[in-house]
Amino acid sequence: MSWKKIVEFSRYPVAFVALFVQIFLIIAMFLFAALAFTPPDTPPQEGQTLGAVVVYGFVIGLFLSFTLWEIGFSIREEQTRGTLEALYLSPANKFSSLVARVFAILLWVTAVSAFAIFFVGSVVGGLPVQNAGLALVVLLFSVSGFLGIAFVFAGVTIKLKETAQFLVSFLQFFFMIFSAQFFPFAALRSASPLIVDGVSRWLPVSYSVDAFRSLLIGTENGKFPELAPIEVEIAIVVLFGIISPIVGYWVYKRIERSARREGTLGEY
Amino acid sequence: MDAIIRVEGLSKTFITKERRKGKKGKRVVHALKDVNLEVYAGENFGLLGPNGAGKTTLIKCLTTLLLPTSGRAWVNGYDIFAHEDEVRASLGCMLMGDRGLYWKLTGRENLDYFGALYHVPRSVRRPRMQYLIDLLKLDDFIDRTVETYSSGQKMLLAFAKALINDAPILFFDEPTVTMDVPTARELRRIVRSLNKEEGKTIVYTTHLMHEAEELCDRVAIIDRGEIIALGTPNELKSSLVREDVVHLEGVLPATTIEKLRAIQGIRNVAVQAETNGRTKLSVLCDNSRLLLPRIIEAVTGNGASLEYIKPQEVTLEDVFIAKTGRSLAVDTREVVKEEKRGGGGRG
Repeated sequence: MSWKKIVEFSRYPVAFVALFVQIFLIIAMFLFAALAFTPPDTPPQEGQTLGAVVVYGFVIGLFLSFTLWEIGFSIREEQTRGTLEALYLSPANKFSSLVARVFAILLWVTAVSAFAIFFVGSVVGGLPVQNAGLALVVLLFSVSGFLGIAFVFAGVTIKLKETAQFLVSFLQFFFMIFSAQFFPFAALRSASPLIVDGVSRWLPVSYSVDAFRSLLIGTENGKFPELAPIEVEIAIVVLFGIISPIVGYWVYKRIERSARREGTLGEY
Repeated sequence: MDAIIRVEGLSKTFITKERRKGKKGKRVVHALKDVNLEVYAGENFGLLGPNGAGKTTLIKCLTTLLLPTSGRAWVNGYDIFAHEDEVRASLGCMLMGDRGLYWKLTGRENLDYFGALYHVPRSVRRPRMQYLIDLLKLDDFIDRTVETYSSGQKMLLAFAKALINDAPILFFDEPTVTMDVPTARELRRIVRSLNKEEGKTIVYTTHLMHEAEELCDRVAIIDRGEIIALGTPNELKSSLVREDVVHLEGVLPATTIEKLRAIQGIRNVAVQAETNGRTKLSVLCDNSRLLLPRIIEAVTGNGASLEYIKPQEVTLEDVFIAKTGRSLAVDTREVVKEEKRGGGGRG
């Protein structure tokens, strides 16, 4: 499946390059907007922290978006082309085929993330990088958790078909805002504390964003993490990474079975 | 003989939502009704029936794509509910025509990919692919991306895909449907050779009676989800041995069919085709020589013009007509709609 994805990517070189450039345009948009509202006498360290908040949150957002998009889009594409039924006719493990579906894109996202960090670092004159090992662990468990959401989304795509694409766009922006991917949670709290307490705190993705960037920026200055002590945030992310794929796959299997009962698996 | 596929009381009911004149409603469709059958190892088994009869639903249940509402079935000894992966590994399927292929991959990459999905080891896959490329003469286009293929080429690749895992049981759902005549003939030759020389068990669905007569050892005629006849083509045809079939064509008024049915000795009348005001009819009767004058009398007059009339040998299509009163060319779904509008209809 991953090999097939890579070959298919290679057959769309223009789309591939456009997507790559688009990612940098998005991050540049947020970064320059943030810098534009920074007072001129701000110390360079503040600018670097701001850049770090944007880019580290962006990295988590990128993994989440591409995991959801790739699974949803590829399942929809297979449904319309009839290859989803062909896949179900084979004895191939359905869990592996779901994971393999995103494996190639996750490799690509990892490369883009590294470039994004380098790009922002060069704009703001370097980025804080502390606790890189632990941050990587948080990232891995976060991606595992996102896979769980993606499994549910794969099932939803089988049922809702085209509508699911709109749902993923909504989810992308929902998490972008309520999990504070491009700004600190303090910005949400300044708008209304209810947003953070009523929504953000209930989203595991928020803890992924906060823990990942707090570990990399450093927790010593008391500003980060913003939602809970770092140990608690890491525990939440680890639990999310373990429970989410199990629950997500269970939900996927239920929806898939219902689609096989109703005969909608191959409907397009 | 050993049954390699066994079906016991299989039923499938679909409940679909529909919106008519702004009102939401539910529609219940009994796609399969208590189907029982056995397919023997090494047999070429035909499923014959018009569009919408339930052939594809039955195949989808047996290939695990669709969960039956009730009943049981075993494929290659495996229960289709309890051992889905073992059932899938026992099958090679061509069910979706030229769909089910990756268009951005080449034909060779498609075969390689599907071989991997069926856990065919790479060392076996490569020679198997080359064997299929040679068998189906795919070498001219196998290294092009599928999006550049003609419909016939895609069908051939889909056929090759069904053979990649060298499964003991093959399901072909109307495989020749978009092929030109020589390619379809060649494909039927290969199907015969897979059955006779390689000993594959084949389940072949078609609505073309000549394909079923040419290829199949036994045929099940399916209509409205029920198996209405089962046997060898000769057995089915000999069940009508005391009956003759008369084919006639011309400009015939709507009352003609009723007039013909009213003649004593006529068993059934079916419309084969209606184009440009001309109607083709098949008349099933006890003794065509004796009844021919009365048939001619019934179809002439009242502005009718008879252009062709010929008594013919019994075919599987005639068996279908004898059982249902309709031609195989008629889409069952349309018949059901018509009957609902008219308030009548069977089952």
